[in-house]
Amino acid sequence: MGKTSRLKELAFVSSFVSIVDDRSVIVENVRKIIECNEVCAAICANGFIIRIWGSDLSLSNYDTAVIEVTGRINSIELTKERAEIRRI
Amino acid sequence: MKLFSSLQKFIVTGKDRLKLLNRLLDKGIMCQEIVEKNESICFEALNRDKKAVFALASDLDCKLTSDNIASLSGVLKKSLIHCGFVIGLLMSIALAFLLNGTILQIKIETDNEDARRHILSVLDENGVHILSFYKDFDMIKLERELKTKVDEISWAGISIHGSTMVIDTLDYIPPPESDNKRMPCNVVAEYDCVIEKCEVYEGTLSVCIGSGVRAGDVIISGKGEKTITKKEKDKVSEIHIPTYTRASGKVYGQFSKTAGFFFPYEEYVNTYTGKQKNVSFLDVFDVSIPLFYGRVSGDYTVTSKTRPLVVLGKELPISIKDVCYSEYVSALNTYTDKQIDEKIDVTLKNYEESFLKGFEMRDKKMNINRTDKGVYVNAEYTLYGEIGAQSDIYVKKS
Repeated sequence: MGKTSRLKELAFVSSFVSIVDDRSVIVENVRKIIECNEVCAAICANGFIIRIWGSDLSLSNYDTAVIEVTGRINSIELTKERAEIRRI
Repeated sequence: MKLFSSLQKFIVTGKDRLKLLNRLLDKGIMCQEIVEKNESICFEALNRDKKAVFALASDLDCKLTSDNIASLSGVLKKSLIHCGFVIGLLMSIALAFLLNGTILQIKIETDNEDARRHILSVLDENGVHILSFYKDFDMIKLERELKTKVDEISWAGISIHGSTMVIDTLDYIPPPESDNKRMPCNVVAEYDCVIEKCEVYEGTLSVCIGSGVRAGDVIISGKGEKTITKKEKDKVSEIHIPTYTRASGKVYGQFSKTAGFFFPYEEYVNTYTGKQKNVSFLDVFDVSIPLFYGRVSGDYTVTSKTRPLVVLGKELPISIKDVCYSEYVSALNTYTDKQIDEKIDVTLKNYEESFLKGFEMRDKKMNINRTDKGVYVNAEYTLYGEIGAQSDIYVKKS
């Protein structure tokens, strides 16, 4: 593990994804919301983009940097964050 | 309708709608049901964060609208404007809670007014009245009290219907008069009177209706005679044998009764001063040992209460006697004519109620004689009523 990742681990900036059945996904340490519609919700967290695909999706945020996505979840994608998305 | 929520529904349109969402996320403003539809984002946030949301959206290129979501708290807030209704409703609930188990009405099932008054006074003695809690009372004990203390009823039953106490009663029917004595007797007059009516049940009527009799005269005689025919050697003889019976009947007559009273203008009356002295004595067998110093002197009325020592359920001949001395003074009271007249009325009324009850007062004559010392009152009553009384006959044994 590199020094950067170790520092990140100590500073608690990692994002945590909790999945409850196929109805709820809780993501902690979120940086921003990129997209949120009924079919797809995209969230940027710790250098990754977490895309959640499903139907009747809705987002809720209960605290700073915590988001819950509820609805019928089909899949979750994790992709590396690209530079231009940071501008949103 | 979401209960107890005070949420606002926001719709944001425009280029910077996602930026607003991210600003809300950074500020930690709670949002839920965030959905993007047709280039507008809908979300719900708390009412209290409405200003903060609008403030965050103020410098962004987006249009933000909000709408109230129906909730119970919103309805309650609106109803607070009509606070009288809310206060009235709360007071009704509180009253219903407080009055639950309270007696609001006492219904007595009887036509007898005397019985009704006595029942209410017995209930009052036991602390039962309007607004008292019926669970504080033992109903069986109350029923027993009513049966023993109210003479006009023979049975009482208490039941509770909601907040009404219903008392069912059965009137007392006095048993018929009966005479269990077997001694022969006459019915004699109790007063000097004129006989007006007579009902003979047993015996022989000795006087005529309308005749005057003296006190002690026999009206219905218990003595009779039986004739037995005896045949002896062709000779028929009659033997008269006296018979005795227990004479009974009702004799009504008119008689007069006189009562005299004296009301002095001045009399000594004992008046309590209010000063009391409480002392104790130790009673050992017949000896009373005072447990105080000094002597009690003066005019006092005395009330005492003895508290015996009880060991293992047995009373010992050792007790503490608590004595209360209430001081009084004799004061000379002077009465005016008006006060004397009032006293006369009260005294005569008491006399009539106590001694002339059961007789019909046909006439009343009053002779008032005022002297220097006081007033002499002579009341002569002409009364009508039952004047017969049974008087035993003692037969000599032959």
